[in-house]
Amino acid sequence: MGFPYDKADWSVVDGAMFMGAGSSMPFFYTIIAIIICIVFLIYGQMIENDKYNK
Amino acid sequence: MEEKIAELTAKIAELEASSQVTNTMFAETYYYLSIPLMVLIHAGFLAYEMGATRVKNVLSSGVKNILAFAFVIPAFYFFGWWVYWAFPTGISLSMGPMEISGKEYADAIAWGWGESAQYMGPNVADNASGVFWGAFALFAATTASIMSGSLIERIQTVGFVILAVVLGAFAWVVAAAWGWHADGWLVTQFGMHDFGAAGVVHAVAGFFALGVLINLGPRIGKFNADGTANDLSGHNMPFTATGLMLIIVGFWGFLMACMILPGEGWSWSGSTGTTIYGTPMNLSALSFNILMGIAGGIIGAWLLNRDPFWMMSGALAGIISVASGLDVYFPALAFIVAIIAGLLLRPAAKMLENFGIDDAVGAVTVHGTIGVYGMVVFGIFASGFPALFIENAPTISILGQLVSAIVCSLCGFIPGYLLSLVLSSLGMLRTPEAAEIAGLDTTKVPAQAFPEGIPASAQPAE
Repeated sequence: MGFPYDKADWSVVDGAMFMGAGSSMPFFYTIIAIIICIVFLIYGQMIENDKYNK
Repeated sequence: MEEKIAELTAKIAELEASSQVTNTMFAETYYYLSIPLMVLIHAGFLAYEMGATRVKNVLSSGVKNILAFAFVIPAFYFFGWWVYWAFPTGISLSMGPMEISGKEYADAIAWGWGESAQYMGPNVADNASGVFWGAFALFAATTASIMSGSLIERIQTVGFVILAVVLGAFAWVVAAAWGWHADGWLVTQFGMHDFGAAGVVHAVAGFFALGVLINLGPRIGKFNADGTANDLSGHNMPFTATGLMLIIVGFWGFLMACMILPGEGWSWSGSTGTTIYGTPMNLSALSFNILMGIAGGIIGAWLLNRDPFWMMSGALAGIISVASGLDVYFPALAFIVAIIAGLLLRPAAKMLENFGIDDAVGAVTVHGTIGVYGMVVFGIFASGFPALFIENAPTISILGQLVSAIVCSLCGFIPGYLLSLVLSSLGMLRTPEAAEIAGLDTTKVPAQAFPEGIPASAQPAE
């Protein structure tokens, strides 16, 4: 989180400028996003199975 | 030698002029093509709204939607464009620090008469005004269309058109001047950042619709005597889902038009695309984050509700939830923010229903609630980013985004509520009960949606 450059000024920006650029945050965001996808698929399958069983 | 240098200098000047022509033509074409893409938003709203309507009202819903487009465009020409340039610093109408705002500036470029008329019509020396105005006029029509769906099946046509004109050519324009303009006081004082208009378009339109819905009341049969709600399903879910997909296609035009191209007299930068605030960005950022936002919104909505209407609304909510920061979100983070927006949709719509509000297509939730959510969440993750391209620019903060989201919501709610109250007292808001029961098509449309019913196919040839 926060501006990824030391000085809060756009004139110093010369590359990646997204939230968390240059830190470990992109890795964590990506892992969390992947885990959410897997958990949602498992939960979705459970709900659908319940409906089949009924 | 001197002759050679002179010859080379002339050739360089010629090349520079030719490259500038290409740049200018590209910039003009870029905004011009965003306009028909945004017309797809209206094709989408038309299909979505008609599909969500019961058969007895389907054409009157279409007529209403088409008229919103038709009246908002000239209204935006007559005075909306002037409001955008005059109001950024607030009601003082004074010029802001970038010197592109205030009454004097707006008077010089945005009226269709006098000296300023040269910028409001064909002018071979002006490749920018028409395409910028066109893109903004489509933003305006989109804002009015957002409200349209929530009011279906019980609103009078002229009353609705008046509401659409005030929303599309004034209410959202004031919010845009304040928070979607480099001189806007919400930007210069509070560091507001709203690249894709989650606040200035979606929150304004959603809360304007809420203000109208309070005075308009629910459709007959929506609520039982004990307060429980009935489902008044539209006649054509596939049409509605297709309409929602068309809106999403149109959003690409809307969002590309939010970027200011480089290298022109009116550009913020000579070498890179920028946001409306002059901060650097490019189309790659949009591609990453729009797609991840759509996907996240659909997945989030699917988990709690298998209804394709809400899943496609989830796609819209996904984009809206990350719209404020499409220029700087990390795609995986945008995906997570959008999933939460998709999860919020159904419970938020249910809550509104529990208050006795009949929002036929969930516009208050998808655009209003999610618009505010997107603005505030962006403030959490983007705190510390400079809000403008200038030195010592104000920075984005949670408080600034929260204040801005509240201001945008009020810019919608207050005029929506007050104007609909006036229209109601004049008998111009709600259709008579008998007409609503019989069906609005029977009352006011001289055509039939399905003259042969919705028949089974003819037998195939042998």
